[in-house]
Amino acid sequence: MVVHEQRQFLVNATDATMAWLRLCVVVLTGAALLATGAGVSIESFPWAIVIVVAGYAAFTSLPSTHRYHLPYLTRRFAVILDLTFITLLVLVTGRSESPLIALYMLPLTVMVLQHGIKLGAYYCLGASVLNALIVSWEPSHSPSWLVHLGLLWALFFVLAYQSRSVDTREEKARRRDEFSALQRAAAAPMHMGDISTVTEAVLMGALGPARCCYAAMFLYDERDATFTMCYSLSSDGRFEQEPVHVKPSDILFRVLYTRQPASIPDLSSTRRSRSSILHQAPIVSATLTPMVAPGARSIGVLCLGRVENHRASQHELRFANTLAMQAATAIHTAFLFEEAAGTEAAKEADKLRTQLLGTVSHELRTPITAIQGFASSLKYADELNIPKEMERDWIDEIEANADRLRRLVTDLLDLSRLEAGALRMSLDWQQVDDVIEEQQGNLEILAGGRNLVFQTSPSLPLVRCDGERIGQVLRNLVENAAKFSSAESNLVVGAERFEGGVRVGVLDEGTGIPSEKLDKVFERFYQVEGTEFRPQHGTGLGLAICRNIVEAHGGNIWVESSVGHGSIFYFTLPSPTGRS
Amino acid sequence: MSRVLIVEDEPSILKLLSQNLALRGWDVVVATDGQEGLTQARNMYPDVIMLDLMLPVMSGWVVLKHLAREEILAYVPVIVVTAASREEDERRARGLGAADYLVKPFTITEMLGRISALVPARA
Repeated sequence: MVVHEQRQFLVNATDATMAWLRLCVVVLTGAALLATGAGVSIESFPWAIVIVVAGYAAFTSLPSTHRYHLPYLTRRFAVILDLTFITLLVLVTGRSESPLIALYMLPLTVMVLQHGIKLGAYYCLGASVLNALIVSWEPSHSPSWLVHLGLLWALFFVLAYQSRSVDTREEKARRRDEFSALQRAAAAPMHMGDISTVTEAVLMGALGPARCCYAAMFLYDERDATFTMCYSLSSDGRFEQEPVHVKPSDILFRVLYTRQPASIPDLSSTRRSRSSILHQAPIVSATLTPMVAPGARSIGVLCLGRVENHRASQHELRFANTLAMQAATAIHTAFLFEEAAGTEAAKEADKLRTQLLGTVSHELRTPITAIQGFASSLKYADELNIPKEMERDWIDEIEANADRLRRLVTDLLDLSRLEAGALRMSLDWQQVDDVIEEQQGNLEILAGGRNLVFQTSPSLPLVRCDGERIGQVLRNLVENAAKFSSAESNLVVGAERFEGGVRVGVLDEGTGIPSEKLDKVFERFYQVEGTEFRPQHGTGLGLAICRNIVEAHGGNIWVESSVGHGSIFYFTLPSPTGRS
Repeated sequence: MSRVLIVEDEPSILKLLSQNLALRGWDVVVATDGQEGLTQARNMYPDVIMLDLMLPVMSGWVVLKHLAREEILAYVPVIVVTAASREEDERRARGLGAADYLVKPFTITEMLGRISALVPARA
């Protein structure tokens, strides 16, 4: 199979054109015979020649012939057949006076333009020798055949000149395209970090100079020994990336393991290429090159595909190879970038953890210091003659700080369980105003004599929530609101229909929060700087806990505030049935 | 009578320090944030300053830097009283001119010992 694919056969779209041309030659000859046909009977020799040539022409003009039989019909062999048949035609239609000598020009044109000057020269030479032989056997001949051959050579030189200048122009354009593609691939990782943009840039560069309509990269994972992703770009500009599953028998693996480029002129020609994943792509022929990064790391396979039959030339293979190498380096760099970013993120998380640990230890040390300090002070009470009220006050302090410590530990545990997702909400269908009503007593105590107003509407949709946890959120919010507002101010707790669910708001007329700090208040241990009040009973965790509970219900929590006028904390509880 | 300035934002700790020192005959001046602490230091010229590091408005670190730049205050011993227990914090604080570094939690005896070591000739 492999040998079959790698030999240079006449399997090309241009050969089909040649075959059509042959058909034209036959038809023209038939017409010429009919026109001069006096005295040529139907069973005579010239007709037999014409029929043989017609058979040959028809045979080669069928596309399937090229696919299955032409291994035996190489380009050179076809040229010899063409020459022979045309010479035979010349022979039977009047030898040196035959106008059919002009027929040599048709295949010549195609040959020079499509297969190169060298083959054209051989063809001309062959035609000249054959005609000279024919004429040399003829006793009397007219000199018109010399004119015909002269014209043939003239045509050859014109075509040769034309094709050479076209070649140079195209060569220059291709070099330019190739250079810019390689440059693009080399520059890809400089500006953009992530792999998909890098691959897109490389593939975009590959489409132009390779003259293909489809370029794809199959990325390979050395650890799992599988292809993981396919990034592809079609000439209509559609960039796709999708995970792939490539069978071990696929041709991609062969290219990857042997590290040898492969050109498949026709994907449907062999069973192996038919079963390949490439056969699912909108292409007929493919050039595959392995992508190897520094350190001999296999990155994947680069595929350049065309919609027509095409065997890659040595030059095209070399270019594809260089591009694949460059692309491999680019992707390798992108991988390294990603890895580095991952390490950076891990470092950042580590730093945050250390910071949190520092804050927690600070928050724990303060009440412990107070407890230990006041307790050890009390030991000197008699010695220093401390008044009874002060002694009493110190004991109160010890109690208050012990309580603060207890709350801190409870909150920390709650928060860490919430964040780890270990604290399950026991969700029930509930009316939000029932939950609020249940908490009314607690909330009034927390409001500490401030004017607490409840505003709920009776037609709220049912929501699925954990009543106890939502109660905790309400208590935290009201406690918070009371802490930051003066003793005679108003507090409002309200609930309303909101986007198909329920929105609960807690309003205060307190100090307010500057707009740039609005998001930060929900962070652990965050306290708005510059506030005069340092809460004695706050743990700095209340709002973080609220956020976690609300988010565990699928809701949102946020705050709207204006400095000096107060704040409103909102949270939402979505209701699956509330859209009615 | 020696004068002590306590800069501390935690009311409990402030009460603990100030009452204990006052009972032992110190003239106590208090401040609850860094800015106020610096102003009090300039006004009262204390014999010793007890300074928390985590303070609102102006942090203890900044206060330390300011104190080191003042002509007379640069010679006033500063005891840093903090929950920051890491060694590098202590090194940094001492580098900024702190005379002593007292980590919370501490006992009253320890606190009194440190302060009298710095201000031996008190009233």
